[in-house]
Amino acid sequence: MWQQLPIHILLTLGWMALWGSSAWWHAAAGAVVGGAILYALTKGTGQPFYLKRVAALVKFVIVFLWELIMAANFVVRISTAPKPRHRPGIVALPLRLKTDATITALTHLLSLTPGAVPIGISPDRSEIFIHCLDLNELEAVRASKERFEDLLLEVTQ
Amino acid sequence: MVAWAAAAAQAMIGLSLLLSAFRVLRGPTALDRTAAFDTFSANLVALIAVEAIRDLTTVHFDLAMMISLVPFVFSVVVAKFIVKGDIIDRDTN
Amino acid sequence: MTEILTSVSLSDLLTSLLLLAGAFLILAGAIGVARFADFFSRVHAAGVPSTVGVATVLAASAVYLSAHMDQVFWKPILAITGLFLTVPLGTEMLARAAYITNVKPAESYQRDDAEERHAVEHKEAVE
Repeated sequence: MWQQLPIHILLTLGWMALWGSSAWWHAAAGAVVGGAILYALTKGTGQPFYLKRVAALVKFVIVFLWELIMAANFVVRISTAPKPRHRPGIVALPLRLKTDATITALTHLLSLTPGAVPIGISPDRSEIFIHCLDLNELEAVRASKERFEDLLLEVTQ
Repeated sequence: MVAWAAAAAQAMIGLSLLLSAFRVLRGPTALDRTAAFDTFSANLVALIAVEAIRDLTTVHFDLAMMISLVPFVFSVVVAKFIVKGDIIDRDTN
Repeated sequence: MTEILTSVSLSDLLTSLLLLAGAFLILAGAIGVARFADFFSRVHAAGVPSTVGVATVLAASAVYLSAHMDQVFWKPILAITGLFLTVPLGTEMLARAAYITNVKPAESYQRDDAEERHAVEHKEAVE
């Protein structure tokens, strides 16, 4: 699937060579035309189109930045409250990811979401243990974990 | 306007350096001190960035990059040592 | 009024906003670190807000220095990447070490699934 990337670059360079120019608009037009050719080819061969994966990655980054802003907002609200009334606790949430790399990525992302720090996974990898700053916000933690898991599955499959 | 904002930011960051230094000195356990030291050095990076804005120089930034990477090594080493009493081992957990 | 508005350039405005927002986040995180009662709450406050705040201040410096030096200045971006790759991992390792060595919360947890399932083996801290 990722071998489509060098082909795309080659198609773009070929377009630029045909025009005999290295201006950016020729590069952009070449990228568009190359993408269209590749898309048509993947329709024929039944392979997944690699730009779809790239789009998933971009969506992932945007969701991540939004979660980050919400996380900062949440911790600021609790730490500047006159009387901290949060109820900390440790919850187990089901884990759908199986490989080492994706679980590492998930824990890394989760420690940047609102009031959640992962502290371990169960030996059979079916559950992840998360320390929540506020159990009242448990649903938010569960929702962001589900969203990250969906996105990671989308990017790696 | 940037000068005023930079001065205000510097004051706020200085206050937060003091607060995290308080936790480094006070913290009951070694883990508390380490976590507070993490915050302390991250705040130091921010202070260097504001200083670069005020002086309009870029020479400090290599320093800022180094400081942003050191506390990570420090906290990993402390966490491993607290759990295992050893830093370099062949155990992957 | 219009004179003031036109004399302030867009990059200066953006720099000031980013600086103030980032400094506020950093201050809130440090307040949390100084005043929360137990280790796990403090680790929450140490992780997220200070990372995001420092990243915001570094972004402000990138904008300002790029605008005033007539070339794009990449080093703050590198520092932001380094921070985002390292700080969450450090936070997580510290929290895990604290849980394994049985650091007690200020009040006992209302819910502790890991304890119920005996998933984590507790050990004595080496100090």
